[in-house]
Parts: sequence; C-alpha cells; structure tokens
Amino acid sequence: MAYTMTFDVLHEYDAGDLGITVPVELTIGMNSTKVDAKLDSGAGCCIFRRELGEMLGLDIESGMPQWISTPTGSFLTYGHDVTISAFEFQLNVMVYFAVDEWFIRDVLGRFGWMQQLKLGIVDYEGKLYIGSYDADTSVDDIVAEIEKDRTQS
Amino acid sequence: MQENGNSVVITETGAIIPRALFGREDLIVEELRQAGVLSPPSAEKPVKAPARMEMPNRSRELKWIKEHRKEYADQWVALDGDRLLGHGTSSREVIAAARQSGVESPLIVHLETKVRRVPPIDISREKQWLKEHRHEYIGQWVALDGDRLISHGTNAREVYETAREAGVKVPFVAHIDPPDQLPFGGW
Repeated sequence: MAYTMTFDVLHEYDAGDLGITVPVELTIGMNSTKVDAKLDSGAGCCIFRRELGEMLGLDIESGMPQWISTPTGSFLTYGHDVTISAFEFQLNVMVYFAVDEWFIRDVLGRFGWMQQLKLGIVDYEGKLYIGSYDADTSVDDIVAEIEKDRTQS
Repeated sequence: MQENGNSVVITETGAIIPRALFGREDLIVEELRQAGVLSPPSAEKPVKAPARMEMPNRSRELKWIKEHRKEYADQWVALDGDRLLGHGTSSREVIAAARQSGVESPLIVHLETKVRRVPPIDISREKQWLKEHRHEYIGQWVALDGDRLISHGTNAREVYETAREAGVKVPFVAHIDPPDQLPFGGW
C-alpha cells in the first residue's frame, strides 16, 4: 500500500552536518534573534540553552519547571512562551530553557512544535519537507501512534 | 601558618586547612565564613529544587486537546492528564496556575487555530561567514547581520545588545563551539 502526503516547503540541509540543522527565529516580546537549531524527534519538547533565553530578556527560573530525561541522566529546565518562526511557519511554543550552562544544544522537539507540522525527511539527500498540519482532524492518529509506541515498548 | 586545634586559620597570606579537617566541609565553610572569605548564610530558606518528575506519557492530554480544541482556541492550556489546570491568552498566568496546582509535570501548550505563514529565514550568508571565520572565535558568541560581524564576546546578552544598539533588529547569534565535538546522540 502506498501513502501520499503533500508539503508546502522544501528545506535543504547539509547531510554531513551534525544533526538536521534548521534556521529559526525566536521572539520574546520585542526581542528577536535568529539561531541554528537541530530537529530532534527524540525530544518531547523544544529545548534551548539558557543564554538564549536570557539574551532575549527572560528570567529563566520564573518559568514552568520541567525535568528532562536523557539516556545518561536528567537535567532541569524552565518553560517559557516563545514565538518560533521556522521555514515559513510561526507558532507560539512552550520552550524549555536548560538551567545549567553546560547544556549547549538547541533542539526543536515534538510538543508545541513538531506536532503542529507535517515533516518528511530524505536524509541521504539532505531534504526536509514541511507542511502545516490540520490538528482538528488528525489528533486521533497521533494518539493511536503513541498508544502503539507504548504497546511496543 | 598556624593551626589552632581543629579549626582553619586564615592569615594575611591565605587560608591554611589542616589535614585533620579534610572531608569536613561544614567546618571549613564555617571558618571561612567567620574570616569573611565566604558570605554569611542567607536568612532566607534555601530555594527548593523542583521535584524530579520527568515528562510522562501524554495520550490523555492529547485526547483532551482533541475534544476541547475549539473551545479553547488560541489560548494557552495547562493539563495534567485530562484535568485542566489553567487556561487563558496569557502564558504567564497559565504557568502561574500550573505552578500553583503543584502538578510536577503538566503539559502546557498553545492551541493554535491556524499555523501562521511568514517569510522564509535565510541565513546562508551567516553560515558562509561561520565556515570561514569560526576558528577565530572559538568559545565566543558572535552576532552577525548577513556576512557582517557586528559583535562578539563571551557574554551572550552583551553581544546581542551590542548588535541591537548597532541597529540590527534581528541579529543571527551563535556560540562557536570547539571543532572536535562528538556526534550528537539526540534523545
């Protein structure tokens, strides 16, 4: 059985780079900056280093505390409302900023960002296809997928 | 150099820590405080770190979102399973409600009715500049406007503010990490 999807944007990235790098614009109030972030389907949410939040005027610890687990341990983050523009899409996202300055990754994860979009990856060619997603009609599919993942694990 | 029983002695030339105190951090810190080397302990209660609760499975939250998306369109919602902890257009208030609830790992999301379309972000000239110059700024933050370096330094906020003061409304910023990174493991 074949499946067909349509996308709005094609983003070409350097397939030899560490991870899939995506240019994003972060906005908090009147402050905006452009940065490179990594696409990470293994991340439950968007996580950025604390300096970026502070740079844009945030008091990091005033946000929503959230521990994030990794294969090698956990680290503490605080969530804040950030407008993320990436490709041609703009979303209000709860972005989690790492408390510790040793955390030096900026990743676009699932809740708040990836789940608002459709993504198709041809990694060998460094091609990332992106489309907007109609959440009103397809949340069932996400729930079914999560249930399936849980059953399998 | 002086030793006075079981205590640390501070002289004008420095602090001497007797071998007998090795491993007795509390005593060493107390002596250093008395000597004015360390600040006195704060009268305030120490800040309690948030409980170590990691993100749980979110199936119930996603189901709730499907059922209530239209009702709370364009609002922030904080959920604990299918329980609504707070909602509104102000993320700050929703975060406050979630913190007030005592739930350790709520899901906080903005219920978008429509993904907004914006012009694409082009940082090709910034990336080219990084390829050519990154070795000159290892360990520093740089702020760029196209292929023009606006500011650099070890303090991200200062670098950003300098770029903004120079008239660059949305600078590209990057921290130049050393080139010998290991592959990123992701999550």
